[in-house]
Amino acid sequence: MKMVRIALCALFMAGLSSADDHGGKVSWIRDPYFGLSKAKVEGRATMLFFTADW
Amino acid sequence: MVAAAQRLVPIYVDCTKKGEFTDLMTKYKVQGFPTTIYTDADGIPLREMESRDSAGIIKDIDTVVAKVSPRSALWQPSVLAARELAKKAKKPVAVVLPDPKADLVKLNAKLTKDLGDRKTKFLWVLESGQPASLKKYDVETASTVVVFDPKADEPLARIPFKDDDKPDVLNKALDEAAKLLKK
Repeated sequence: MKMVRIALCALFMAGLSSADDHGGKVSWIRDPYFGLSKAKVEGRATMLFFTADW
Repeated sequence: MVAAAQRLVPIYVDCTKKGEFTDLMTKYKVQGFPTTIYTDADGIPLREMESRDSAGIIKDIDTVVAKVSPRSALWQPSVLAARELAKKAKKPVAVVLPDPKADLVKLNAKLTKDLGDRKTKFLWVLESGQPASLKKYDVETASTVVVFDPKADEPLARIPFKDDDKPDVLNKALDEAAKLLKK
């Protein structure tokens, strides 16, 4: 589990950007319902990252 | 890894606020954080992220992407990807910010039917029409199409549209915006 967390952190280190599309960052979609609809329309797989800042 | 992530739709589900996205947590059987689930285009779960390094995650993404077939040739995966292609092709980028209540399947069908050769004269991207996204593009209301010169930050045009508009309304505005593209 710890290693999975590290891997996920690596994903974030690669760049987390809420809605921005700047180079070198993952362009996360923060509206999950829109993201799922977008995937359906475009015919693309999704990666759903569930997290909570508690 | 960033390039790999752009091949699918990366969705960030922030469950910090109690009660938010509980439907998605239930649907995807999320029992702790962080959890990453890969799904197909219909939101059907394919697998949970189990890889422990970048190479493994990229392999996971490759496997998942290979199982899903694109449905619409209209849309580029992201503004970044569209801009890069548009620079080479010397075409404008059109970012669609739909009304959050809009049915995207219907919107896609309408645009695919109505746009004619504008489907290929522009590079199209579908983005969220939520307030944060509207603010990013300095747009007052969704639905709006924001047209960019790929080499410039300031849009060529912001074109509001409605589902029941006649095709000519949007098409004429797109043609005018395309004329502003620097040669």
